[in-house]
Amino acid sequence: MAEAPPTVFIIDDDDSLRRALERLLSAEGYAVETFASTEAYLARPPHDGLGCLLLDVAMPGIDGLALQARLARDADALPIVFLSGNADIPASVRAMKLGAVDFLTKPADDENLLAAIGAALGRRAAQLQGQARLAALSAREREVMRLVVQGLRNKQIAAQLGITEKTVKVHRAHVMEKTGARSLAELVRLVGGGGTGHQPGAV
Amino acid sequence: MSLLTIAWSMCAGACAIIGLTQILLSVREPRPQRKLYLLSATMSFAATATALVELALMKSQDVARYGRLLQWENLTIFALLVPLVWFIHLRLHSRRAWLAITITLLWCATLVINFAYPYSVVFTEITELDAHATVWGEPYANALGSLNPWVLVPNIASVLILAFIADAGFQSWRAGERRPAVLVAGSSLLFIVMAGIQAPLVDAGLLDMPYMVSFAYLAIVFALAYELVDSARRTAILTRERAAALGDAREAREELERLGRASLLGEFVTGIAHELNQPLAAILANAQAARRQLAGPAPNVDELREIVDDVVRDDKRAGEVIHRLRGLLQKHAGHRERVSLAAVVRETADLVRAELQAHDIRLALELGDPAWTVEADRVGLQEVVLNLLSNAIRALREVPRAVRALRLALSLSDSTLCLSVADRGRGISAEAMPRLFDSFYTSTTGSLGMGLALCKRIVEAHGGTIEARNRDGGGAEFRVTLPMVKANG
Repeated sequence: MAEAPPTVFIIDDDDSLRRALERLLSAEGYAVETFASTEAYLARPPHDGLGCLLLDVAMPGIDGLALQARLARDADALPIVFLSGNADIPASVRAMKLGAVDFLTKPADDENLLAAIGAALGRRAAQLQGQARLAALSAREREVMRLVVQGLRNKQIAAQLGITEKTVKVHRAHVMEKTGARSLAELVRLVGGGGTGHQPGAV
Repeated sequence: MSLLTIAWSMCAGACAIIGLTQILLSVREPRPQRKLYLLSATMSFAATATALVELALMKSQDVARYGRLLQWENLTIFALLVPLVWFIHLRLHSRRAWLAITITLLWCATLVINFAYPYSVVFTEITELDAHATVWGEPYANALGSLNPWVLVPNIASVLILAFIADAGFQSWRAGERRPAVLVAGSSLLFIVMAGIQAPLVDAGLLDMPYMVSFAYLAIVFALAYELVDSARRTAILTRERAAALGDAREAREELERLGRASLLGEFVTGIAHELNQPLAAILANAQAARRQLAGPAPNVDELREIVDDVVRDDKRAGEVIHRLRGLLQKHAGHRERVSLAAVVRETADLVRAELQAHDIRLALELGDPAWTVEADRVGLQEVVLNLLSNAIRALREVPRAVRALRLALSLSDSTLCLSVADRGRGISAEAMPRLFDSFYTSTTGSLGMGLALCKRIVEAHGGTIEARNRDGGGAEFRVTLPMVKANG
């Protein structure tokens, strides 16, 4: 997609581990940025390119799970791979429910780690692609799409926007064509950025 | 050789041997017991003398010599009976010291009278020495003469002695001391009565045989010596058993404390696993990064060097965690050394850092001067700090995250160091406060209730104090004081 290599954002309070992970991922050709706390990461402007988070769970202040909950409200947030000090099942279930790509336990094998990061970057790529496609839509098409993914029928959309049902059908066909979505479900996924548009908010 | 000589000499020898044995045994005994051995030895030597004098009496040829020997025999009897009375008084814990004193005075009077008359307290005059013969035809002398009226004095004393012994034996029996009652009082009574019947009968010329007082005495001396040695043996066995039982109890307590320690560490196991996991994870990631570097076309030597340095550092870090754990899980060696209190507190706080973090507890450390030193068992102190931290963490988990503050502070006043562990939890309930330091008292499930009891024991063993109070503004504070020592010297 982009010329710049994908960036992995490592957030862990342990200096030595941060350094080691940075070396490992750099050796794989990734750009790496490291943060000692979630607060330091949040202070950084959002990354709009290809990338993902490699996130520790237990940290002072806002911990990994709290950061995830905060980012989950944002459809544009980077996918997250968790790297936890202990295999805490409730925490991992929660993390996966909120859309984490993977939940690894320290010490993690490099193959598993790189596979998880690869998966996260794949998801991010799809996310960016969808966003780019959505950006190509006209204002009217976007409006129609918003109502479509809310589950409204063509007739209802026509009534709401004050246009004919036939026009709605044309716009809808354009939306599907421009986004490349083959079904309503795919469209919903694209718009929601991994969610449905009805985000549960903080859990 | 005459049979009489052989018999009486052997009796004297046996008594002498018993006496010597008692003296030898007395050396190893504690003071009150030594007195008994020495009394018993005195009696043994008195019995020896009695036997020898008796033999001389039998062999004597003239009246004057016989009278003098009688005087000496009475002296030896005095030397046996008076110690016997005091022996019984001490051994059977008789409550009638006045009777023992009376008997002693009567016998002193007897001695004065005894030596005031040429023929002793027994006779005013000896008319002749009657030549008797034993059944096997050996001749021996027996005096005939007029009895001294003063002989009443030792006779009264003898009656009092019998009463005294009977009373002491009876009291002792009733108090449950049956064995010494029978052995000491019983045998003394039996043989004194036997001697007390035989001698007057011989004196009065009614019994045609030599005095056999010394044989009765031999029996008494033997019985008393036996009782002394036997009771010493029993005491030794009892002492050994008690020591063994005490040892068992101590072992059980140590085991329990170790369990308590293990369960205390169990509370922190997640945190400790985290402490271990961090360096292990870093080592693995570093090693894997190095492997990738080495697989590439141009390995970066500088980076590889940094990787190896980091691996070494992380390995040491993990080793330290394990070292601290092993220290705490060991059986107590109780080895005292001069340690910096600040260092011990910091080490222990490090052990629970992950736990504090997981519960959002803010820890404030005010460690004062690292030169503040105590003479202490390092592991014991760590345990005290760990227990207090564990209690504080438990208390703070019950209050909202925003107020979870914990303060560990060291201070010094008048060469006494004070460690304060203060939290802002719910504090200590009025119900729990008085029993806080009792073993097995706990207000939480899943705790053995050994923690604070153990803290108290450890702190007090170090000459310190521990106390708890509720703080103004909420929360509990535990204060441990320990005497400070000079850092080196």
